[in-house]
Amino acid sequence: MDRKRSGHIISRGLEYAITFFLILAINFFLPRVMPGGPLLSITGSQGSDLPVVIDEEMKYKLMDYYHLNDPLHIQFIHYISDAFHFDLGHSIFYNVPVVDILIGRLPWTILLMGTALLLSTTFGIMTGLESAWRRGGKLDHALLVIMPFFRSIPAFFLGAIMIFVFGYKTGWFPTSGAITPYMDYAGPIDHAMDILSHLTLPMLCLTAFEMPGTYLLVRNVCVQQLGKPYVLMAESRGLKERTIKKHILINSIVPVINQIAAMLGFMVAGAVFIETVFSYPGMGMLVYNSFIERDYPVLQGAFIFMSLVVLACNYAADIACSFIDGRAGQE
Amino acid sequence: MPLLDVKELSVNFSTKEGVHHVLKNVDLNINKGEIVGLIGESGSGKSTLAMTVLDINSRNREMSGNISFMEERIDNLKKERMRNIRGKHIGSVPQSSMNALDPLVKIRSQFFETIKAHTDMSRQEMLSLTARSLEMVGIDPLRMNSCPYEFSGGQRQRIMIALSMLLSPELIIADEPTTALDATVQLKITTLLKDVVQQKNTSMLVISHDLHTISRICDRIYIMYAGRIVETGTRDEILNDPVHPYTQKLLASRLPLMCEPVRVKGISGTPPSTLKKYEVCEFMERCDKVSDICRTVRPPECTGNVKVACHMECHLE
Repeated sequence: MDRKRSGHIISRGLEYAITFFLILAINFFLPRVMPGGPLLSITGSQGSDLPVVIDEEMKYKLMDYYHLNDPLHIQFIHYISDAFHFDLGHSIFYNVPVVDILIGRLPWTILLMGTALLLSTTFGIMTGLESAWRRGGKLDHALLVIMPFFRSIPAFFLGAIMIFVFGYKTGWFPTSGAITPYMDYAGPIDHAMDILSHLTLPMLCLTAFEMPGTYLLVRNVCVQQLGKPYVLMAESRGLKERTIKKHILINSIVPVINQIAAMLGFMVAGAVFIETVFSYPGMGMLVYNSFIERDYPVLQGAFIFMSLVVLACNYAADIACSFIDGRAGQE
Repeated sequence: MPLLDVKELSVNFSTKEGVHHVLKNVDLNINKGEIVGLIGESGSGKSTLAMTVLDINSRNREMSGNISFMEERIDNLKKERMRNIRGKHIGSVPQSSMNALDPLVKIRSQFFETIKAHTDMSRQEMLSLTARSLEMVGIDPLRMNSCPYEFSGGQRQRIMIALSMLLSPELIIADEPTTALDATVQLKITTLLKDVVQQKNTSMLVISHDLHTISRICDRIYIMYAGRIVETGTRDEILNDPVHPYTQKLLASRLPLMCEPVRVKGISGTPPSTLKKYEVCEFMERCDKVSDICRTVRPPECTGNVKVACHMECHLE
């Protein structure tokens, strides 16, 4: 059985590797099939009033310098080998290697999305299970109204309200950034508290955006489980309520884990809004700013990084599920 | 005093469609060491009776009547006290018990949690009790670390029986214990049930729609129709000398073994709706021995010394 499981894990890993390769390919070819060229953005088009003038010979030299005259497949091979050496090009706007920018932003996004994911999943599962257990009761009805309500508020609007109420009116939390600039910290605890107070509002906002989905999913899956014979049997064995809930949870968790991993992509999109609203220096704001500045290398690099993270999380979810349910992948 | 004594039990469920009258004035008792069969067709209220005794169907339920178990009233008992009785004093082999084990949890953990819910045994004691119980039903104790999906249906059924007997309850309620199994396994399981009951000196209520499979192991039998007990008696009385037209038809719809092909007589018509309240005998519409009195007066209730709920019985005397 363990051999079957490792076989399953390896084959899933290969699938994800292929997916990642396809993402790299799309990332490479998509800009190249679009009209215009890299020089056009530097020299401007015919009608532009930019005072840069380049003759044909200079143009050819420049193209040659950047290997842009090579056939596409050669360029692609260069691109792939560079990508595996963590060379994603230079940022046009910041004029530093893209990887350096990404590595500077990544910890903040991981902190923000990680804590929000942890909170929304924990509370989503707890409320969902409780709601399913008391289906038809007052708590269930209340949650079924409140949760979709939070889901239907756009994330940026909720963020703006939170900034106004908890940042501006009451002054409890800072309204933007991830740390106080040029701050002299008394010690590591002070430092951590500063990061935490900056983190609170965007994290709560992202949690409020994510939790309703998890809650509804868990509630639905658990309500289905409640009708299963093993739940009735657990009751007639005289098990305690907590033990019965544990059984329901074990049987519901596999689709929930898969679904959360699949929703991670949407969470990245949500993070773009929320980081922008709170000026949080994570990947989301980087993507937003790079889009404004037409900083394509950074955009492409960020996409690759994000897809890598989403794929890795999905892979981790698959592995976790195969350990919870030994039947996974044994069809 | 019988071990389990159900008196004048009526159970209704209120739903959006209306009130379902599922059990009507049911009297049933089980003595110590006895195996009692409860036979009836689907929807007659057999499982509801079992679940009401165990108090695991309290959603939307309205009930009246008494249930006594070991000389204690157990209807309207506090939740925590009732939980202590379930599993410890009343074991249950549920309907579709092949799926009644949590598919993702090891057999051993499921046995352990039952023990933990009712006693303070040490790990070693729990282990040996689990091993003994599995051995009793012919499952290799070495396999207790496997998950339910790694066993066949018949094996799961035997594990289920071991689990319900684990804490040597005084009463076992087996709800359709053989329904999902093929004929050869059915025979093994019924024999196993009887053996286990004798070994552990418990009592058992066996619920089934199949009079012939179950009757082999029963001492007494109750026949249920549309939520009412229509006839009761010892096994021989019911099998050899059925009085109620429903019991007669139930026996006539058996498939005779080792005999020339015959047309099996079924019972025409459909069981009555639980939504309707009947002023006369529920079986009248399907009965071919209807007399004038059936159309106006309810037959006697099958309580106390009355053993057949039919006017015909009165006429015979």
